[in-house]
Amino acid sequence: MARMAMVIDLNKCVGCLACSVACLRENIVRQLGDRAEAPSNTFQYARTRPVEYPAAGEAHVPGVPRGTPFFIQCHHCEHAPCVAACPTGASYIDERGVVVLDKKRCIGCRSCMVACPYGARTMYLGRLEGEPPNPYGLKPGYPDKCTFCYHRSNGKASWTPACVEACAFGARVFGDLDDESSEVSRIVRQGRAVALLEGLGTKPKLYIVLPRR
Amino acid sequence: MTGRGVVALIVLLAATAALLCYGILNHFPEEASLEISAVPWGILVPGYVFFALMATGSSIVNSIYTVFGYRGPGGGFERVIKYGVWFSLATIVPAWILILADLTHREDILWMILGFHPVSRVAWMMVLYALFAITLAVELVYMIRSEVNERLRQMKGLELAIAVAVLVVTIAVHSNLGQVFGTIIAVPAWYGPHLAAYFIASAVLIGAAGQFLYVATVKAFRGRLSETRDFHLSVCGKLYLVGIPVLAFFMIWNAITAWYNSSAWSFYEELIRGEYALEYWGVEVIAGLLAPLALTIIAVKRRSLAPLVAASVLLLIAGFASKYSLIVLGQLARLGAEGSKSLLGLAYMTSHYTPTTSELLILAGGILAWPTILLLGTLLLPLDPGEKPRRLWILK
Repeated sequence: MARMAMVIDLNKCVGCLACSVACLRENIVRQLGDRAEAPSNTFQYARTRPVEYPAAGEAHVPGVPRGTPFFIQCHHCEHAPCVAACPTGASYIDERGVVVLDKKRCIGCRSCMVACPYGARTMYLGRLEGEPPNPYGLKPGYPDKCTFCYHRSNGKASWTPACVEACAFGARVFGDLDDESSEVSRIVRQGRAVALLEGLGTKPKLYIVLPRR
Repeated sequence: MTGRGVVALIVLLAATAALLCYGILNHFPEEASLEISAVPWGILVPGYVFFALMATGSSIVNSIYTVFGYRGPGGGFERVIKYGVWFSLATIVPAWILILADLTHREDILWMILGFHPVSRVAWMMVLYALFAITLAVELVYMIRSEVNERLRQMKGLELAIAVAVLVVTIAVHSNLGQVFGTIIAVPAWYGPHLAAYFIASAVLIGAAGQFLYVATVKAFRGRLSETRDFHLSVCGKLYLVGIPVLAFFMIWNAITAWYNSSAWSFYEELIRGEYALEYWGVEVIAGLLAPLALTIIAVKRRSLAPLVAASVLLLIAGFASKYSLIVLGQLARLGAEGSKSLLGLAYMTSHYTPTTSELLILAGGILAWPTILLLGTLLLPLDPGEKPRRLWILK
């Protein structure tokens, strides 16, 4: 058993969106010869969606400068509300702690989308030509979310998600929380990173290092 | 079966099929994709909840006679009970149609059984609906068969056991439906145990209203409305006069509870003094509580059915509107919704929800399926007291 987790250090993030672009290329966009097929409003379907936080008109959060780039994505909760809500067991937590969707079992009731307190799941309903870029890639009509690029694991104990690979500033770190030598585990142990909405009891495994200011 | 009835049935069937087919085939158009992550459950879900509550609410109304033995003025309940049980059974069908139509992968529905996930409230809905339909069907067949079978008529213990089973399943359906929403921590307006109680209060009212309109319409068409006039005024009058203040209590209670939770309060703020205030005060409060209460008092005092009909229609309209605002608008105020957060200069996600044309067509088809199924049963089933089964061999 492993508990794969990710840390996003907002101090190192410059908002270049290389992570979102890498995610789109890895999981969303379909290459058809020299033409790319992607959903309209493509960035909304990036599995790590960039937002400005706090946005204009929203309450200011002490310590977080207005306009800070922030990302909405799956937190791979240990007590995942989406998994609990799924009536068919299509959403499940695999042995590495990654929340995955078995599309074969999914009936498209969207309970998982409603249940996610992080707003991580989207569903594209338009048409897309060709096949998804990987077996866990976006398919219209199915709830879609970050899989930590699960398809890259190939049975290995650890792997590198596309967003982590694309970040030139080392703002994203991925690894096993249970492996004390991993950087993710070290950052979390040091208490530098926080999990969002921890009070809900979902035990999320996406950690954020908030900006120092 | 009258000629007029058959023609009406054919017309209703054709219109229902056309609306549902067109709506379902064109459901989930590309334009909808921009909105779906903001409001995953659109107008068809409140439509489903509305019919589910009406069916189960009317089943609770039936239990006043079947379980608790209250016969009403002049034994009126005996004259309408089979209509009432058929109403509960028929009304659950539009709920199923609407929720099935809203699935993006209806073809994989068997996974609800094959992959039954006991932690999920939605999974239990399927089991409970099956039990609800089975127990109601058994109860209806028992009532019809006991008209021609003396031995069956004498088995009072069996009759009561069936009625108690129906009531237990009905309450379980309510509680579970409330918890489908009540366990979703992401939507503060739903989260908590209060929804099951609110749903029961609302269900009894819309169930009684729907059932009264159905029975009164059938009796009026058959020229026998005078037989049950006093019964309707007495039973519906009492149910409305007690039920409306109870529903108002739960609505106020929900709002007061939300006051202490800023996330939940953002939803009520929108309702009470925000963009949807007119709909809330106009439809849910004035048309849904105050006007039906006043009309019921007038109906009871003047011994007139017309104000009771008006009160029932208003209760149904407000019953749907309140489910719409709770479910659809509740999601706009959910945790993690990106409604007001701009995607870093790239796009903007709307925080509004507008039903698509296909959703509205499916909803219209579901609503039309309701009188269609009711009419089918009214034509085929022996629902009057003492009426012998003539058409369906299974009942003979």
